[in-house]
Amino acid sequence: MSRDFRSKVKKAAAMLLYRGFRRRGVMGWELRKYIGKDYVDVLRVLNEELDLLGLTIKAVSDSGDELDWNDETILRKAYFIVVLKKPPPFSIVKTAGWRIDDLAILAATLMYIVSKRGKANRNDVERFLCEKFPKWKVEQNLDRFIKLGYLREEGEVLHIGWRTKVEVNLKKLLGLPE
Amino acid sequence: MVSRLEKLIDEILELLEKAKRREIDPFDVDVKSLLDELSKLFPKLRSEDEYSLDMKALHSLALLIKEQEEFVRSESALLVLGPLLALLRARVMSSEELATLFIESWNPIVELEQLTTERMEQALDYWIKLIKYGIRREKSLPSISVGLVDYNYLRETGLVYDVVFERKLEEVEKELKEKLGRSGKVDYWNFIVSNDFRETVFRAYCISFLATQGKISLYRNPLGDEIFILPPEDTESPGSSMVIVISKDVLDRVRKKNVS
Repeated sequence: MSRDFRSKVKKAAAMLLYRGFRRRGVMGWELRKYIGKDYVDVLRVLNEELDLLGLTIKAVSDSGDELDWNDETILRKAYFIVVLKKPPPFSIVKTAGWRIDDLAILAATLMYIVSKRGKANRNDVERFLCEKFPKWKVEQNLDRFIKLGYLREEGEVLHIGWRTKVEVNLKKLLGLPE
Repeated sequence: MVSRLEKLIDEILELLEKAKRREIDPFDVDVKSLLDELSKLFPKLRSEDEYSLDMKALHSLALLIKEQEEFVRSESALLVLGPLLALLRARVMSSEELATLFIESWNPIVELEQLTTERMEQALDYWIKLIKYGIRREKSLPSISVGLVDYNYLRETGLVYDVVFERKLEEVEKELKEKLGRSGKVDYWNFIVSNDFRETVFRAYCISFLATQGKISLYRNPLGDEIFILPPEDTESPGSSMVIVISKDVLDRVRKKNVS
C-alpha cells in the first residue's frame, strides 16, 4: 500500500469516526471530495482494518436502508457510518450511560410500531408503554428517541427512524427467523 | 445433447443455491421456461446417461419449487404471526428482558467525541477575532428614529383606552351591584369571563380594584374552587388578601360550564 493511499485511509477513518454535529455519518460525495475518486477502495481497505477491531462500515440511504457498495451513483448520496459488528456486552451499554428502562422502552416501542406495520399513533404507543412505565418517563424517552433518530414523528404518527434501520436488527428483536 | 443438458442442470443448480442463500428471490426463477426447455430436449434423449441427467435437472427444479414454498411459508408467518408475537412478547417481558433482547439485536453507531488541537486552534482564532458583544449589538440594532403612530394601532395594542378607566370601573361596579341586588352573591368566574381574554383580565382587574376599595368582598369556598363576590362587609378591620390566578384552562372550563 502506497504512502498516499495509507494517508487516505487514515483521513477516511477520521472523517467517519469523528462525530458529526447533526447527522451521524459522512456522505459519499463528501468522501469523494476530500479523499478522491478512489474513496470506495479506500473505504474497503479501512473496513478490513476496522474489522479487526470489531467494527464495520455501512452504506445507508437517507432513510437508513442499507445500500449496495457496487453502485457508484447511489453511493454518492449514501451515508457511510461505522457501527459495531456485534452487539455490545450488557456491561458496556450500562457504562455508556444507557438505563435499562430506557432501552426497554425503546425495544417495546419498536416492537409495537413494527407490529402495526411500521407506523403507529403516538397516543396509542404511549398508552401501550404506560402499562409498564410511568407516563413522564415514556413521554421523555419518546422525545429523546425522536431526537436521536431512532423514531420519526409525522404529526401524531410515529415511524421507525433511520437510526433504528442502521443499528437494530428488527427481525432478531421480533424473534423472527433471519 | 449431453453438454446442453449439463449446462441446463448447472444453471438450475446455481439458481437453487442463490435462492437458498436468499441472494435472489426464488420467484425470480422462471421455472416454466426451464421446464419447457427440458421437455424440448426430452424427445432427443437416447442414452441412460442422458436420461439420468434429465432426471437430475427435474430433481433440481423440484428442489427450487420447494424453496419457493418455504419462502412463501416463512414470509407469510413473518407477516401474520411475527407482529402479533412481537406485541405479545413486549407485553409479557420484563424491563430487563426487553433491554437484553434489544442489546442482542443492536449494533450501535461508533463515533468519537474529541476535541483536536486543530479545532482548538480554530476556536482560539475565532475568539480572538470575535468583536465584543456590546459592539456587535450596537451594530445589529436598527437606527432609532422619531415617527408617528396611528391612534387605532395604539388602541388595538391596548396602550390607550377609548373610555377612561374610572368610567369603565363605574360600569363594572354598576353591573355588579345589580347582580348582587338580585341574588346576594355572584360567581366570580362567571362574572369576569368574557369571550375576549383582554376583557376578562380587565374585569378581573376591576374586581380587584373594587375589593381593595372595600366596595365588595370576596369569598373562596375552602372545599371547592368556587369564588363568590359578596356585598361589602360591615367590619372595620381589613380583610385578608387573596391571589387569583387567571389561567387559560380555568377560563376554558368556565366557558364550557356556561355553555352546557
